[in-house]
Amino acid sequence: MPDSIITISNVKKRFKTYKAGEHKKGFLGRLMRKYYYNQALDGVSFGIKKGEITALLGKNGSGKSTLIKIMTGVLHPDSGEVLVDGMSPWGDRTRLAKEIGVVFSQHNNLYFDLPPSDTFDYMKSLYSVPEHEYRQRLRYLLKLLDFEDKYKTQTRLLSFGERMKGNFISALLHNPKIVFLDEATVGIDLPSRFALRKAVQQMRKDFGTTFVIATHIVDDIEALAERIIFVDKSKVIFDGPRGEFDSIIGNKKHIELQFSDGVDPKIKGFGKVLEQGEGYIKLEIDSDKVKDKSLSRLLFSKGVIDYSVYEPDLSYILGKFYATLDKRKK
Amino acid sequence: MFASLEKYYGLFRIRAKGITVYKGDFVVTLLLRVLFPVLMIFVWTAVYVTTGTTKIAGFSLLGIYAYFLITASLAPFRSDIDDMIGSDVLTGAIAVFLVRPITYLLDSIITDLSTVVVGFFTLTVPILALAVLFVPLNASLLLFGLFGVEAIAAYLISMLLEIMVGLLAVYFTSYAGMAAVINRCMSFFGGGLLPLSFFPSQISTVLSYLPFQFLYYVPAATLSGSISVQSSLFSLAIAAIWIVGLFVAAKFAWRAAKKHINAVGV
Repeated sequence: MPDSIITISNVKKRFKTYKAGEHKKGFLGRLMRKYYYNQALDGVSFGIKKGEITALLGKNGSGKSTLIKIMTGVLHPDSGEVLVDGMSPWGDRTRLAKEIGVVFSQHNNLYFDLPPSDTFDYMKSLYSVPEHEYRQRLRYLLKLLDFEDKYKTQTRLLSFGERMKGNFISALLHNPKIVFLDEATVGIDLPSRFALRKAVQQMRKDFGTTFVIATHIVDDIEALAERIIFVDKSKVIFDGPRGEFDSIIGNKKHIELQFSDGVDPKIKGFGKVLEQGEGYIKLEIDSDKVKDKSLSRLLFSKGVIDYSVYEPDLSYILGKFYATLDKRKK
Repeated sequence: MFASLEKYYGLFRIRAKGITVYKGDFVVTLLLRVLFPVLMIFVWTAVYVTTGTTKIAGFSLLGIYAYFLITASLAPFRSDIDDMIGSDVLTGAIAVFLVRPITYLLDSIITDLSTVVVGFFTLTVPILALAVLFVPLNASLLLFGLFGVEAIAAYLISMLLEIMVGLLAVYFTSYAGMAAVINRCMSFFGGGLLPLSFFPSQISTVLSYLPFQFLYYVPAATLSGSISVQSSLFSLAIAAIWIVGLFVAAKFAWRAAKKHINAVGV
């Protein structure tokens, strides 16, 4: 794709692994492990345009984090070609590092025993950010993420969500062209998650930053992504705009209710029943029905002990996806 | 050029700050490093006094005091880079460093150097001052100069060896046992536990061609005056050859290991 800032062609990567208790055959085999190869990526290709917010969606272990690590130069693919901002991520690693920012949910960019302000100062010298630009950008990011009161507190004393905000700021202080977020919103509190989402949108608007977000949280996609690359079993099973993705999975929400004296049959009229048990029901409803007055009346009626409304989970979406693909094939 | 220096200084500053943030822990760790040489001083005092010996393998009792105080002062020059690399590889934290515009090895070396510099001022200088005042250590400025160069050579050799030890983590999930054995060998064959002249002559001849002697024995023997300036200079020349050889080996080891790194959590 000529206007792409990231191009990936036919990338393959496998990892060597073993299963506990399994050994090779023969007399000395008991002393040797039996190894397997786990194909993490199997011929993945796509392109990402400049200034796009793209979600790499997939279950845990689907290969999306491997893709992020290959695009950022951490891992070498076994085969295939990758170009990020015109550079090979592992061939021009240190040169490319100046143009990208990366946030890993599992690994801290902040120095644990020091306040984030020390890491920020180090990032300034590491990326040679001029003093006035650094101050301006730090002010901007601290305000955007509501982090002014926290960035001088020792990192180990911050909550997980606060640390993630600090990681995010440290990865963006040098104004990178492309930002990779690897499950950055997993496990953090809602206000922090909302702040991070707001920051992504604002930075794209203010600086034209390209964002690649690996996630398994469907909510993040609803809030942010314009383009979705769906990875499953080491392959890309969908690559297209959000609208097309929504048209396949439908603009639906899931609702679960618990009744004190058996399920009220009226609820079944609001959508498709997915599961039902003693005093429990799970339905799929159209998203706009959430604000329906008669549904609200029923939710707040005496017989309802508890209810929750949420985005369909990934397993459900995957099921729908494969069903649609099968239909198209037929 | 200046931007590069600023980058390295920034890293050095934040790491040095990190080491000294818990001052109590820092002081206790320092004291622990001095424990073994102090113990050795008591043990050898007992040996010399009870046997009535005045010299063992060319060392008088005062010579032994000086030797162990000097080896204690060299403790900060033993690199810890293997622990750093090993844990970064095994936990996958290496991913964070690999997305920064600095080579991972250089990042680790500067981090390691910050420990050396902090240790130099808080351990090497006070212990040497103690040795000069109380043993007393009568070394000329020339010997101190030679000792300084040899201490740097000791650090370079230990750092290059430890890089290769740390990289074992790339190939073996559990490498800590192997690393411990190699580290003990480095202390033992390096003269950290006993002066090498205490070994049988055939063994000390073999050890004189290996890189370990530069970690403790050569600098300590130089400063305590138990070897001549000429043999000290000759040892330095051998050390230089080892440094070049180990540098090439470490570079190849890193190049090969890089392709095998599977950052955890992929």
